[in-house]
Parts: sequence; structure tokens; C-alpha cells
Amino acid sequence: MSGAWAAPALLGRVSRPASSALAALVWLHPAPALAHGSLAVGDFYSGMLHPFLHFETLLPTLAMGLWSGQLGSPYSWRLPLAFLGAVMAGSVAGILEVDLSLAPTSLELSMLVLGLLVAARGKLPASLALALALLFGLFDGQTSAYDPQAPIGRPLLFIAGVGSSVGLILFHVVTRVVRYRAFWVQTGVRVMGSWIAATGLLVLALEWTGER
Amino acid sequence: MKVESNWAARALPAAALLVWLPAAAFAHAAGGSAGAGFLTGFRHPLGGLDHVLAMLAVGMWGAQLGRPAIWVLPVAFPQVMALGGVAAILGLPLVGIELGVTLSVLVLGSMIALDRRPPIWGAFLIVSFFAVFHGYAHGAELPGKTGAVAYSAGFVIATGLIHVTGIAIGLVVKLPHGGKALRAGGSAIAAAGLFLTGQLLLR
Repeated sequence: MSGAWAAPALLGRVSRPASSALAALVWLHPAPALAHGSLAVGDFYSGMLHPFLHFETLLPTLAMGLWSGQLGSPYSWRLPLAFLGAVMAGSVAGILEVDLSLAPTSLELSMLVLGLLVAARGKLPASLALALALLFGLFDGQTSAYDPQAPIGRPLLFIAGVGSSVGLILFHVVTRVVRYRAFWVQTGVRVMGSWIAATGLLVLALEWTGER
Repeated sequence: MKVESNWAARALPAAALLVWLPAAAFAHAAGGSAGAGFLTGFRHPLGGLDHVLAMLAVGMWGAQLGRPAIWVLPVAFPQVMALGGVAAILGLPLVGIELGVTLSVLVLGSMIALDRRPPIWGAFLIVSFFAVFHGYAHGAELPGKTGAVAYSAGFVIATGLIHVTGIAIGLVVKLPHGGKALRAGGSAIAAAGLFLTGQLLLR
């Protein structure tokens, strides 16, 4: 009796992370095939793909998720929700072609700031942390949707797609950072933050010299 | 043992994702900035023997020193290297870049071989000193055009992964006779560093 129960229980225990990874793989799999800008995948799906195909918006999102997870509750759900909301609002601004002229540089700035916060496991006052999440989310969303050369046919679908991906990324990253407290995992999180900050620093320098 | 195997079961899917994610992003440049630069940037640090050996040595030395160096160095190293890269991008002059890079292989390899254990700030200073040269050498070759984020990310991640590989190799210190094996590895790196430095000076 107990053996009959143990087998599926064991299977479930071992395969849960594996199956979630598999789900993510399946979900990511269409990306190579659909990565052409010219392919008609529909505005929702091109919105969903957008965060994955643009490092300058992906990296701040990842850093946001890592940092929120490190800080724990209530930051771990407040900050991602604020960031997600700001991404959606920023996307609307981008669609309306509101030109936040600082935006390109600010993405690298958000990589640097959030990456350093992750690397240092930095804590900030709640209001300041929330303000950072809102500001960086706004820039992230605005850059995602701002493209005067190729206007998006059905903007609401595109924004919904961007929001879905950003939300999924944040959810997966935050829940894992919150759950796995092992020394090596938490060190890995800090190292990833350091990588994101280093990337931001290099590109920021490139932007300053106007070589980009 | 149970804890370790559990951890492996958790880490493997994540590792699989890490391998897959760039593959999804590489697909075509047309879809976004991620395609063009990432692979080029990722390959770059892997191309030079001196750079690879130095990064490996930093990881191995960190593992030999144990905590806190084993986690302080991987977290702090990318920042210092990026600062070196910034210096190159801004055009600040730095002399003896190539010599600094090859000497770093020699010195870091020797540290492992001789089992030198300076305090954490000393280890950090030594590693940082050489990190600036490595960052400068690579920063000078950063492409100044679109895709810079993807290139830089690929470059930083590849460097970091060599570092992590070095730590993984260095963890042999936990095995019986592992300390000696690690010191032997350090000697091999130091010998390669000596050769590379000699090659540079006699050129």
C-alpha cells in the first residue's frame, strides 16, 4: 500500500522542477521559428516575444525579479506587481509615441542600479524601492512599445502580450528566489545581479561616448 | 548526500533553461537586438587562452581560499572588469595591457600552486588589479553599434561562466588529496602564464 503511494509521490517530487522546465522549454520553443520581425505572428505573440528578443528590456526585468525575491515578503509581491503595472502603463505611453528621451540610457541605468542592488543584497526603504520599480517599469514598457517606424496594428493585444511575458518572467524568478534559500542558490542570484550590472555599466559607457 | 542530490535535481532544469534561452534568442537578428550580438560577445572571452586561463585561475583560487572569497570574488569581479572596459571605451590610457593579461595568468596560477592565503581584501586587490587589464583588453573591442547590450551580456556571461567553471574545478579541494591536485593545476596554469609572458616579451 505504502509502496504504491510512494512511487507516484517520489516521481512527483523529482519531476516537478523538471516538468516546469519542460513547460518553459515548450513555451520557448516557437521563439526560434517565429523570431523574424516580418513574420505575421499576430500582435499578441509579437508582444510576448518582445521581452525575450531584446536584452535591454529583459535584463532589467530579470534583475527586478531577483531583487524582489531576495527582499522577501511583502516586497516579493509588491515590487513585481508595481513593475508589471508600470510596464503596461509605459507600453501605453510608447504606443501613444510619448517620447521619453532619456529612455534608452535609462534601461542601462536600471540594469546597473538593480543589478548592483541584487549583487549587494541591498535593502531600500519601501517607498524608494516602490518608486524605483515604477520608474524602471515605465521605461521598460515605453521602450518595448515605442517604434514610430513600424506602428503596431492592434496595440492592446501587443501590450497584453508584453505584460504576459513580463509577468511570467517575474513570477518564475521571484518564486524560485524566495523558495530556494540554499547558500549556492543565493550566491548565484547575487552573481547574476553582478553580471547584469556589469552589462549595464559597459553599455552605459558606450552610450556616453556616443559610439552606439 | 541527500541534500546534494536534491539540489542537483533542482539545478539541472535551470541549467537546461540557461542553455536553451540563448538558443531561442539567437534565432534571427531581425526579431530583435538579442540575436546579432549575443553569440559574438559570448564567444569572445572563450577565444583567448590567456583570458580563459586567468578566469579559471580566479575561480580555482576562490575555491581554494574558501568562504568568503568563493562568493565575494564572483560577485565583485565582473564590476571591476566592467570598470576596466569602461576605461577602454572612454579612451583612458593604460600601459602594458597585454603584459598585464599574461602576467595575471602567471601570478594567479602561482598563488594556487603555492597555496597563498592572503586576507580577503588582499585577494580582492590582486584579482582586481588584473581584472582591470582583462576588462580593458576586451572593452577596447566592444562593437560600438546596435546590439551592444546583447554583445556585452554575452561577453559578461561567458566570462562569468569560465569563472564558475574554475570554482567547480577548485572544489576538488574537498576530496582526499584534492588540495594537491588543485596545486598541481595551479602550477600548470602558472607554467602556461610563464610561457605566454615569455612569448610576449621575446616577440
